[in-house]
Amino acid sequence: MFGSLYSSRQATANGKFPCNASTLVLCLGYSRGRGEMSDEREKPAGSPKANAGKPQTVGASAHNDAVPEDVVTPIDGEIDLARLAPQLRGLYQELLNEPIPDRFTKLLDELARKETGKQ
Amino acid sequence: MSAPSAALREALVQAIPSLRAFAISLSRDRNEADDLVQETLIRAWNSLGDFQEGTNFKAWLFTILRNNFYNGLRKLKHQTEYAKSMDNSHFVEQASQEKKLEFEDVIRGLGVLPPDQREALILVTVENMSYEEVATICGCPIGTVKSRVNRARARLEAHLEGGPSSN
Repeated sequence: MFGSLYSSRQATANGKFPCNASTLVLCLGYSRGRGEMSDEREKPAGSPKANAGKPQTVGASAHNDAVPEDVVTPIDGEIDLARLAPQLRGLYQELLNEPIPDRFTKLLDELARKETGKQ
Repeated sequence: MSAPSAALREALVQAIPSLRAFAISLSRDRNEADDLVQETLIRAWNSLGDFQEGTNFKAWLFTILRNNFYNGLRKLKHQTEYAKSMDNSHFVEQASQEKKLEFEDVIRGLGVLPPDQREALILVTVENMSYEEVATICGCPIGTVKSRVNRARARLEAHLEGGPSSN
């Protein structure tokens, strides 16, 4: 089943899927709204500045998980991602290859100018 | 521009494509994803003193972006109920193309994953991060990351096979 399934779902010859990054966003947003995010049990975080770069924990998956994920049977050994990984990389490849929007380079230039001005 | 500023700028510029991809996988909205990236760049620039040298700079950036996202989500939950209802026609306009249908099937499968599973799967597969790095970013044990990735894999494969998705 997987053999035919995955062989027919491979990227095109140039390694890209016939879809653009906008489609990826639309499709990811298709099924669920943000109100259904799985952080229902999250506690308020502290100061964002104080938390910069420090991870915040997110509760176990909503989506009707019957067993809290932290007590599920431990996963021994490697998880076989050989089939999915190429597909997922293909999905994101176009996005990763997009030119960097000017807004970001201008922002960094501005931050650098301010930094220089302080010194 | 001073040398440290130039080096930081370059490091941030190099990370932007990955940050955008990760932001989209979290927010599922292109504009919001770019706003998240912008906030992340500013916060990273202003909080560089918090970065521990010798650790993974990219993972540190991902952690900041993820924190921004979940902080924003908390605020949103106190404001208004937000729900998106996307029309299929936006992305199946050329549904006759087999490849496109297959491709969309994969990303629909991604869309039904819980965010914590999706982010773990994307970081491991697309960003090629180790379970340990993902655990650092998500602030959870490595075993939890592996559990999330395994669940995501099972769900996505079940989706692609057309069967019921397990948790």
